[in-house]
Amino acid sequence: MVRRTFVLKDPEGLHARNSAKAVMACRDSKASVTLEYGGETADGGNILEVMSLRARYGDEIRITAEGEGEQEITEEIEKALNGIMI
Amino acid sequence: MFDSIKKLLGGQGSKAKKMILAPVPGKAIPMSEVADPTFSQEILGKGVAIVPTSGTVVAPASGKVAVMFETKHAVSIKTDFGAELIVHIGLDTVNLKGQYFRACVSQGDMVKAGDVLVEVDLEQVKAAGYDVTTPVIICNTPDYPDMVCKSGMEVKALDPIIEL
Repeated sequence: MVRRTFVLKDPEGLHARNSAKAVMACRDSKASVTLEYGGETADGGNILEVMSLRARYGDEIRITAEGEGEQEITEEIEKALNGIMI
Repeated sequence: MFDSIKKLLGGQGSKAKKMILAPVPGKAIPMSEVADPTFSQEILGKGVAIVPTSGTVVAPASGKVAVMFETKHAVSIKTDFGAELIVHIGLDTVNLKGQYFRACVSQGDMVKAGDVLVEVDLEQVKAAGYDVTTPVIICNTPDYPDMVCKSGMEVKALDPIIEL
């Protein structure tokens, strides 16, 4: 299992475009992924759950991934949510 | 007789189609014509977009407000029958940071189809340089293999646009 905490640097926080990229990466990965923020947990493959975390610029999001490709997926999610092209 | 057997077996034939209704009046267009790849490539899911003629955005189905963005440019509903949908008002409108948008419901509220979710000043959003096309997306598209998306026509608010 891999845990990774990162600071959200997208000025608009979690929104449709960056969340969609992260969710697509999760769906393509064989690892099971959860995101946590503010005491709430979201299934990385569920766009509604991810967006409902409502994290903003500067907030810390924790990713937990377990399974094949767990390291890679945590890095991909951070890049996707921070608007770095993947 | 075949229909009655299907009904007995509880197959598709016995289920009434679930309808997602237009949240705004305007022209319904296929998602592929939306000028934003996040929507046109159906990354979030399948659906229909509407080029709106009114800024009163109503709930396209009854359910719970799963997400009301702080910027009020998008709202998602988990419907009573389990569809997870997003109404995204305009393209790139996250950048307006809530300006010209007014939320009429809060995250967690229960709503009925037709309840007003958001009021948006379309003219101001257009004047600010944004495309006001409003995609209605079913995020859990894989749960609905028989989804029918209707487009190419003018709709009134609450006309059916998606059959699940």
